[in-house]
Amino acid sequence: MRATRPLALGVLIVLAPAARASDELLAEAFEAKDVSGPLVADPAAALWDDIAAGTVLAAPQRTIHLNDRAANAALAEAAPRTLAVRAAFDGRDLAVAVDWSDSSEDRVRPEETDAFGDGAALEIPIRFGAGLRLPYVGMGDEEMPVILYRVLATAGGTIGSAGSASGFGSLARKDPGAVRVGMRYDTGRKTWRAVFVRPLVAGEHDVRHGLVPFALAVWDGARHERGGNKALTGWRFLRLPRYALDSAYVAEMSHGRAPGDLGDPARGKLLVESVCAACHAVGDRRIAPPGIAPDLTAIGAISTPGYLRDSLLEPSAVIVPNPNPHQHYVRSKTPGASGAFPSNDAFVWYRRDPGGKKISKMPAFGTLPKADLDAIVAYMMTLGVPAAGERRQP
Amino acid sequence: MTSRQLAMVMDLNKCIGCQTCTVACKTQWTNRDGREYMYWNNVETKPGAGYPSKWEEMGGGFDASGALRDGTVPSRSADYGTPWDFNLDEAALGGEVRAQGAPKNGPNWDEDAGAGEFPNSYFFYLPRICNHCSNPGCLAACPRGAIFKRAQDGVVLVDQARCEGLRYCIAGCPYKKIYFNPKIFKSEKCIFCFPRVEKGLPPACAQQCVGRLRFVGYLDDEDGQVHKLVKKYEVALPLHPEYGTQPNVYYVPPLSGPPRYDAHGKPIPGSERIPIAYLESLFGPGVRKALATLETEMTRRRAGKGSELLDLLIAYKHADMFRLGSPSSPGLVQLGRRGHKALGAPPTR
Repeated sequence: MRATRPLALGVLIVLAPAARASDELLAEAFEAKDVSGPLVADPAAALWDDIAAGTVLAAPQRTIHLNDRAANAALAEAAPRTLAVRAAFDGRDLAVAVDWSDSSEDRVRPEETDAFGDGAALEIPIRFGAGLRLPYVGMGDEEMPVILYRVLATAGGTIGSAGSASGFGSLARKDPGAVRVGMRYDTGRKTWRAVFVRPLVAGEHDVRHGLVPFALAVWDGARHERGGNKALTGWRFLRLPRYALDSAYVAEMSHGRAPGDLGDPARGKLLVESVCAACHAVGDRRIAPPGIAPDLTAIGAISTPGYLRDSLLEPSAVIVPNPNPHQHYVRSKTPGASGAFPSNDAFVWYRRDPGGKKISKMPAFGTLPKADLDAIVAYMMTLGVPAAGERRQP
Repeated sequence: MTSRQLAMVMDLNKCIGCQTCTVACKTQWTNRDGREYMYWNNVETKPGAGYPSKWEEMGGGFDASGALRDGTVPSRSADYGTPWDFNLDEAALGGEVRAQGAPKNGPNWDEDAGAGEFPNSYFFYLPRICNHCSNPGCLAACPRGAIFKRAQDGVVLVDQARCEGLRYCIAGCPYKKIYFNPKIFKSEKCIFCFPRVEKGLPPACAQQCVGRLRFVGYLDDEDGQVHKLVKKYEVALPLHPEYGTQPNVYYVPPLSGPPRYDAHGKPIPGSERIPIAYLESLFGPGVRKALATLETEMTRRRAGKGSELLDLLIAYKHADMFRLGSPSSPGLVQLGRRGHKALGAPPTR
């Protein structure tokens, strides 16, 4: 069920396909309810009963491989999870509540070494708006960092934390300051609800915008999920109706949103399997050496069409941060002074130019005909998204 | 980039399983604050399950192509064994000493069990610390890059400020020598007693070893005993070299021991009490050559000839066994029974 309604078209510069795409984007946005406040981080607050939920799929993270046997065994069986999202704001704070099903209530236990807690996180780009691309959805990237708010279930209660990140493994904790969190397990319905409340203006980070990008992640402790083993959503948008929409931003974020905007997924599949599959694990033709490039098995569930287009046209503009480069070494090389074999650069996804800027090892595909590009994006947007899952139509 | 590598050699022919090293380590580093279950140094009986139980089946390390392998994070209750106390207050008044709780597993749980049937049963002791590997599995597994090798000596450490308690390092270490501290939610491990090393002292486990079976020094120090045992005589071998992490703790493998006995109680000439194949499964293909070298040198010595190797394995002087160079940090240096000596400022580099 959608909490949103189509907006007045007058706001937009009307060009038929673009307008359709914008409508689609805004229809998919999660409308935050304008309330009188004060907002509290209480999952049981009556406020949430008055707000209709929108749903979003969180897909198990498959882009990078982590090395825990138990977590990977669970991942092999994992399906996308449906998150129900509600949002509200008053003059001071923004609150986001996330509900999800989990058959067991798992908490970090102080006496055990292999017990992992259920948890959730809310991600917001540090900078967003017209002219700015979205950060890489998995914890941002070097050019476009993100703010993250996390909750973790422990035997001693909910632990909340806040931080900023610019790629995998870069999370730096920050004083959560005025951020408040709550987390509650409903043992009857077997669902968690996590609530994040943060000021509309937190330092220099201001979310008083008509359209605020956000992404969510959830962790299931029973599946040994922690860190990068999690289920995450792609970028979605909060609509704060008190604030004006920037039509330019809406137009930029709308790329490929309208039905039929993109090409033929079947043609895209052929192209992907004949070109992209040389490096990426994707589709049915899985020939790439694992780890040589991001795994695209579930790329559709965490991407926007615009991100995929940018990745093809200008790979160095949207580099996926590399996992630990020491995961592969070269045995055929001579060990160094300490007896260490050097790391295998083939598994690093970029090189650095003399100025230190990352240059993606992926070639740019700007020379492909537009129809082929669109077809590739159309196919990739289907990956990891079950047919009966998240509906793109309102 | 690590410029030098500190290493340790342990002569398994001299280990009596007294656990003095274990206690030296525990009292110094792990008897408190969530580390109670950890044994940065343990001594296990081989053949045996070890600590944590069946650690050799838990994966980690690198495959033949140099790629990190998946591994398991052991459970404290099942694989390490939850620490327990004894009813010592009661026992002091004449009661029987009993474990409190119902322990089902623990460090050294299968002590002296070994393998084989009497009279051909066998076992030996295997003391284990972190191998301070040249290609550490823990370091490669950390998604946050929180684990590093010190440039000056290759000691592998966890940056506690970066560690988020995710435990991929524990899955990545094939020796299971990095531990999760559930109390502070961080991974912790053997630090090769680096505060002692910086004062010119060996790790506490080596210093306290009753059998004097541990040698400590830099692998590239050609005058050092570590170098001689590892590189010159090749009698000290890494544990499970097939795990692909290039470990820097080396073991002089145990000699095969007394011969096996036949059904009539007669020794079988040339038989192997400890099967060489078993030793090879632990210490790799260098075992036969190492044992042959030891036998040759022992024969020389029995014939009254000199043997640098055996002189070295006798472990006459700590000063020769531990070659750590000039102290790099000021403070008191312990000189065993000779007392203490105050050091001046560290040498400038």
